[in-house]
Amino acid sequence: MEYVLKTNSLCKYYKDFKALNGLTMNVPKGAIYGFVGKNGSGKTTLIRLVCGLQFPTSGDFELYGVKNTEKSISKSRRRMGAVIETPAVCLDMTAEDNLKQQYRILGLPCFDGIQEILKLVGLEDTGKKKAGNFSLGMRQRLGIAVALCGNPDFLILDEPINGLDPQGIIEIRELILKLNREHNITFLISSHILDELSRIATHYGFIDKGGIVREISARELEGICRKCIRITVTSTAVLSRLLDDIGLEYTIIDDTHADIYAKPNITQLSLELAKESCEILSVEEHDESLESVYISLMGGVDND
Amino acid sequence: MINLIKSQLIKYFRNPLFFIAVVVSLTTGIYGGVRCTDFKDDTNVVINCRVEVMWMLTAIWACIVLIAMCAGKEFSDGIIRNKIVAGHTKISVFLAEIIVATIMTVIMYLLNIIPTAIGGWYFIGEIPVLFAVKWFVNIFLTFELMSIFTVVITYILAKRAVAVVASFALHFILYIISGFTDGYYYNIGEPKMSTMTFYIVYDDGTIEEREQECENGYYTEGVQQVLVQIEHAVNPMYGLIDAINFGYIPDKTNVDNSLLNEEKKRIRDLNFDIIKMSAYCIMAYCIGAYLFYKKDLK
Repeated sequence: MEYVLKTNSLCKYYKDFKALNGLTMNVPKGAIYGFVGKNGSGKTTLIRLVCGLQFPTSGDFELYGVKNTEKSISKSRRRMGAVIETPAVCLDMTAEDNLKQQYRILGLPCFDGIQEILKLVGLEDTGKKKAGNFSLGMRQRLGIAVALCGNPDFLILDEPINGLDPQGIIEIRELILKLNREHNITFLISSHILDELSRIATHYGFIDKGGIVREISARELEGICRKCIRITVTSTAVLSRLLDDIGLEYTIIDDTHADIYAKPNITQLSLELAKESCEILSVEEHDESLESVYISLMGGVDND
Repeated sequence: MINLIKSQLIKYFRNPLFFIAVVVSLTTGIYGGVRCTDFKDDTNVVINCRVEVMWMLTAIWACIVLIAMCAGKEFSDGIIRNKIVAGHTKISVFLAEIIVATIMTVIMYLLNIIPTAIGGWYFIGEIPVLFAVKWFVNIFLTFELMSIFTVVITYILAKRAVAVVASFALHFILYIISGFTDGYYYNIGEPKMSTMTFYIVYDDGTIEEREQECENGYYTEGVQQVLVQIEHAVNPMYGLIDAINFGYIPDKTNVDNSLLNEEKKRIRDLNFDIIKMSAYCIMAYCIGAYLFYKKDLK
């Protein structure tokens, strides 16, 4: 498999604080890699190292097969774009002027393609409006547009949907999917919003305390997210005694609800419960959420 | 590098502060030139430019504000990140900013110095071409060094407003220190006591000549003199002050030796200042480039 980005025991220390501690991860080409971790886990630090804003304390990474210590890493960086934390745009320039500035920085000989990029991100009608007067969602899209200048094939987005309204979130999501499918752009997206990430990511990297806890593809994650049956009964105390006798794994949610991580014979279960005057009120199929997987990987909510 | 310079120049020219700095530099230059012409009736022995340094300092300050605000905007808008992500090295980004700051410095300097020089033509036109060139170069190097300091401070602090204040403070402190010590420096070699001749004109029209021993208020000796000399050698503001105080004797026949020695000292200072200021510019660039290279950008 071809990898766009590979890190090898990457460490970054700020005096006594270890922001990255031996981080090893691999971003496959063509993937939408969801980078998941709590605040202060090292997501943005990694992005800054890859983008060249900071140097690692130890360890290394490869971008398109070029090590960060080689001089030609600058050429590799030309193939990527990034939006790190807040979008980097000139607030006193229009959207078009911002892209023209980026074209100049990249040394592109002419301004062809600017209108197409603006159309792609939905900013083609902003006219003479300065970026300082844009909404947060518009600025976020302009930041992505700037990152798209020069036709990169690897985009790094740090918390791209922070502060966006639902409509904005949908637009960014659809833009990412479109760019990935139609232009084959590889994405590295760091986000807290697991539910949103689960709609687009093809691969996940779970990071905690500066290290990767687990890397997993979306397909593998589907296998991990356990299916269960949510059952509503008149008394979960009776249900729990019965399930213990049968030997099935379950979780009691409250006095009347429970999740059973197996497929019991409902008729038999119902008959056994009826003997103890307990009724089954409803039965539903459920999938374990990405949130539950994340919490179990990170060691529980109490560790936050 | 050319791409970075081009993109940055466009931002400078679009910034309203550029036009304000142009107006300030030109206005102070014209006023300085007009003030120069007021002192045309110099002695026939020593001539000097008599430029009021405040008008040049105002142009330097306008340059400092322009550079700090434009360079600082790179950080506040996050554009510096775009440049690094686009594949430019930190050193090339820093060097491009220095080059653009130098271009701005040249513009403000020329707008300021040309009217001043026109007004001070009685001086510029009289001194040998080599000294005139050195005079112009010394003043330019002062402008340039302050601009480089401003870029270094802005890139290290990464905050516009703080960079403006810090650059001003540095420049102001250096200027104030030189203001306290220049009198002492220019009186090195002068005697502690000297005889002053003064004339009393009585009501009936008679004139009485009197002589009196007076103490030189700027006399220094020993450690104090050494400190003053060190300070003169180290303080970059003397690049400007020495140029402004430069005096030349066009006709050296029957001129007192003390005046000739004074002229030699001023020429020596002018030469030394060019070397000193050039070295400072190179050192400031190297130190700034190193600090920015090592800086963790956010």
